[in-house]
Amino acid sequence: MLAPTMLLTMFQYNHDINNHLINKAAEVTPQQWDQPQEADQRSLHETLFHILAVEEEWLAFCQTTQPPTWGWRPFADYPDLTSLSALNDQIFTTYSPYLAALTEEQLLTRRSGVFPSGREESVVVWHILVHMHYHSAQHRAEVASILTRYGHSPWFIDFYGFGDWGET
Amino acid sequence: MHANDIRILYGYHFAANRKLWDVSVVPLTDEQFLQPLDYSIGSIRNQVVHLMDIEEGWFDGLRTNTPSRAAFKNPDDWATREKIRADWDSVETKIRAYLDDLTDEECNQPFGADPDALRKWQIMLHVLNHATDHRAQTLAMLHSLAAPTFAQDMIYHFWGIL
Repeated sequence: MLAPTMLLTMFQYNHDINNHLINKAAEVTPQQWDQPQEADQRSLHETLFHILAVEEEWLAFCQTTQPPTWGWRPFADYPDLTSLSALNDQIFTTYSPYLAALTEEQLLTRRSGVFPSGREESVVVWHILVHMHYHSAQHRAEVASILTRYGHSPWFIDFYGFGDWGET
Repeated sequence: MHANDIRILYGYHFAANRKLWDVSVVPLTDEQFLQPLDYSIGSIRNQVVHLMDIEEGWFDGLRTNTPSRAAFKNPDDWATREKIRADWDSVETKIRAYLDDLTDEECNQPFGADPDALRKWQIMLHVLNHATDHRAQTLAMLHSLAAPTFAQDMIYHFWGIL
């Protein structure tokens, strides 16, 4: 079971680096913001929304046991950077106390449910939280690529060098 | 800190690296493998050499507790996929040996002589994050080349379907 300290550090990094990318996205044009990417990949706007919407549903699954549907938040409700930044902050504010209070015993409990794909699965809470982090890392890489292609590289988005590493 | 959890996470890391190689890199033509790409560190060849290089550099440092490392390796030194695979296997073997002996106490030790340095668990999580980033870059590039790709989600590893 990954130590609560590690998970909290990852969650803080996740929020801060999401914010960094959202702020950087302010430099693109309105057309670039919603431009479909090559080979049918998501737009910058869609990718940033996807990161946050998925984070929230995984976190809620851990806290409330309600399985994800990948559709809680309508994309149309998040048309711009301001709304996405607010959502990023809201997720962080809402779930930080929950994560901070998790005991090692709670992190080892399981969540079960039927997923939108039809799969019925049972997952350990700390596995969900780590998966959520790396899912976001995957899509942040795509965001960084899109921003760079538009001439607005976010530079390093590595975990190493991330500001406050928290207590060890 | 929890050494066994780090081992679990690296179980995913090795599985995802292996799948990237077997599913996506092996089927490429030599031309696709070496094709210059205008993002990050370039070709698919450069990406996989970089993944191997970074893993080896950080874990060599962890093994000897010396944070300094050599400059990035030159991917041109790996002319064939066979050589990359052999060297990457060797790197993985060394990392697995280090992780096999890892203790909770060592996870929480500072990396290097400075007592205020980053802890070793932080370095090990960084390597995982870095690899996820570069696999994502590589998978996007492969998709653009119409090469086979896959979803690298960690949850699929936990579900046994990665």
